[in-house]
Amino acid sequence: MTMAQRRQADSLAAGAAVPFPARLLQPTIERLEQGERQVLLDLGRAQPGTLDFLSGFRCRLGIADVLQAIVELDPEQSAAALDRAFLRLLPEDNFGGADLILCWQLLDYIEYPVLEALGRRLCALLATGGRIHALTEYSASTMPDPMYPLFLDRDGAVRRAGAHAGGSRAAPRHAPAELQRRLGGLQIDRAVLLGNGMQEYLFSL
Amino acid sequence: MSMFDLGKRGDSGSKPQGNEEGTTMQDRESTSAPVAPAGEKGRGGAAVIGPSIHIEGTLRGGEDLIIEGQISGRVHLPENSLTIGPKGRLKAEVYAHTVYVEGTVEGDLFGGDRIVIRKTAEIRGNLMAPRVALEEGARFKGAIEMDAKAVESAMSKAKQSNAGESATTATATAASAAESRAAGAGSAGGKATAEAAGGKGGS
Repeated sequence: MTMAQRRQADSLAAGAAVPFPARLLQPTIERLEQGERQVLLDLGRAQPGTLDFLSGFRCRLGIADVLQAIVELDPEQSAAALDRAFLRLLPEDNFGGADLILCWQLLDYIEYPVLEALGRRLCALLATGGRIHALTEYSASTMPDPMYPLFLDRDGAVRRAGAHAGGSRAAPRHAPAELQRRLGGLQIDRAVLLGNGMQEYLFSL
Repeated sequence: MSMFDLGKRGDSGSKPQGNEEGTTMQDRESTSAPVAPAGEKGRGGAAVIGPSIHIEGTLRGGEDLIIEGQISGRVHLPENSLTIGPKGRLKAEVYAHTVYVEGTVEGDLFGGDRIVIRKTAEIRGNLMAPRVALEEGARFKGAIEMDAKAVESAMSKAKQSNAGESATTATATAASAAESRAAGAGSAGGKATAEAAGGKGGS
C-alpha cells in the first residue's frame, strides 16, 4: 500500500467523507441499466441519494435499517435466540428473494456468534444466484465508533452519511478466510482491496 | 364499510358545517361534512380533510386532496395528488397518482407517478411507485417497489377495483335514496354523498 493510500485509509477510518466507487457493484448496476429487474436489500438506513440513484430502474429495494439493532444484539445468547432475533429484524415478507444484499461495515462491528447468525439469516434471504456485497476495514488499524454509515449516493459513489461526531476504535481487520468460515455457507466470489484501504467482497451461496 | 366520494360531493347538496372535535364519519348521525366546504381549498386548490375529522371506510375522488385528519380503511385517488399533512394519520392502503407524506401512515402506499417522503413522515408499510424521493432526515423501513411494470399493474388493478366499487356505490346510493323516499325520511338532502353512499350504518 502506498503512503497516499495509507493516508486515505486513516482519513476514512477517522470519519472523513471521501467518496469511492464500489467496483463489485458494477455488474448489478449494469443489469439495472439494461432493464433487468433486481431485488436489492440494504441493511442500512434509508438514504435520499440511494433512492435517487435507483429511481427509474426496475428494482425492488428493501430498507431494513437494522445496523444498530444488530450491533446491540447480545452475543452471549444462544444461537437459537439469535436466529429468532434475526427473523424479527429481517422478515422474509419484506426482505426475502434478494438478488443483492448490501452489508456495509456491519461485519466489523459484531462478535462472532452474531456474525454467524447474520450469515445464516442472509443465506435464507438470498434468491437463487443472489449475492452479498460487503465492505470492511482492512488496511486501517482503527474505525469509527460508533459506526459512521456508508451509503450509495445518487452519483453511484459510496459516501459517509452526515457528519461523524464520535471517536474511533480498533478495527478487527478480518482475514477473508475467517469471514468466509464465520458466514457459514457463503463463499467469497470476489474480494478487492480498495484504494482507501477497505476490503470489498461479493459472497454467494 | 362507508364510501366517501369526494368527486361527487358537490352533487350531494350537503351544506358545509363546522368541524366538531372527534367527529367520526362512521357515525351516520354525524352532521359534519367529511371534507372542507366547497369554497375552502388547501395548498394548490386541493380539498382538505381537517385535523378533527376521522373517517373509517373507503375514500375516493377525482381531485387533489390534503389529509390532516385520521383515516382508517382505503384511499383511492388514482388520477390525483394526495398529501398526508403533518397532522394526518392514516391506517390505510393508499392509491394516488402522487403521494406526499408528511404525517403518519400505517399501511401500503401506491403512487402511479411518485411518492415523496418528507422528514416529518412516519411510515410503517411498503411503498410502490416508479420514483420515490426521500427528504434528508426522513426515516423509512420496509420495501420499495420501483419497477414501473409492477407499479402499473398494481395501479391498473386499483383503478378497476375503484371503477367496480363506483358502480356498487352508485347502486347503493340509488337504493339508499329509494329507501329514504319510501320511508319518507328525506335525509339525503342534508348529508354528504359519502354518508348516502355508505348504506346503513357505515363500516
